[in-house]
Amino acid sequence: MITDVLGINFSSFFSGGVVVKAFFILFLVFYIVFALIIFRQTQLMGKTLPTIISPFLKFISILNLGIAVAFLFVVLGVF
Amino acid sequence: MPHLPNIITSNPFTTFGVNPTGISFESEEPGEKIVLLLRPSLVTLIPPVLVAIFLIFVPFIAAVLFSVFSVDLSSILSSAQVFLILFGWYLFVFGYAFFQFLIWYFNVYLVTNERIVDFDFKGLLNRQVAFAQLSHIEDVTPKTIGFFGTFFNYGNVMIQTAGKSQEFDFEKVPRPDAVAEAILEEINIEENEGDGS
Repeated sequence: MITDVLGINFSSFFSGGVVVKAFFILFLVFYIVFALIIFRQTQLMGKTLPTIISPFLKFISILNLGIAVAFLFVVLGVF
Repeated sequence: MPHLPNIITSNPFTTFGVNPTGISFESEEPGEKIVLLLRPSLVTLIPPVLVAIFLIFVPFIAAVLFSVFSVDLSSILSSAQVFLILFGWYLFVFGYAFFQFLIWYFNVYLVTNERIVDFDFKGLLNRQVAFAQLSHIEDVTPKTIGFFGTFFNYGNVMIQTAGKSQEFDFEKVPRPDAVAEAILEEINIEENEGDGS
């Protein structure tokens, strides 16, 4: 069991998933910045080099950004 | 003698598109026609695809490791939290795969009847567009390197331009010899048009 390792009670340390929550929120903030840059780049490249699937790629990048932002709020609420 | 087949490519994911349709570029001039559209060979997508497949299986590997080391996740996290972690992980995997696809898709090299255009999209914050008139091209060198390059017939085409312009490098494009011949052919056509006028 993880609680037995080095005689330290790890389950109390992890109680409420505080560490996981902090890590998760940090990860999501970075991911939202990443998704934002992807969206902007897709928008700019769609203007520079318009193709048939450019609007679809833009839609996917917006969806990706939207899901990431919504997911951050879900994590803030559930964890 | 023409080196490219007289066909029209309508596939938006083509890596070697002759007379492509459904594509234009921002600074395209009236009367300018895209003769050849190039992207890095599909073979160059194999490493990111393998990484993405590995990342998809990471939670399964983690579950096996947890059971081997007798780690009871349910004592630390609720099932809802485990679900959210998995969702977050697969969101990250999707982001990685989408980003790799964009890098491949927007790394485009165009040969038009007037010039060559190099769209470089190499990273999150690295985007560059370069142009060179066909009349400024001095030297075109196709280069196939390595086992995969030889086996799958892809490589680099280095284009030396006159004056202060930098050297253009069409990286990992399919059929580099045919690309070089097509560029030289377009240069000849351009020169003949110049002589005729």
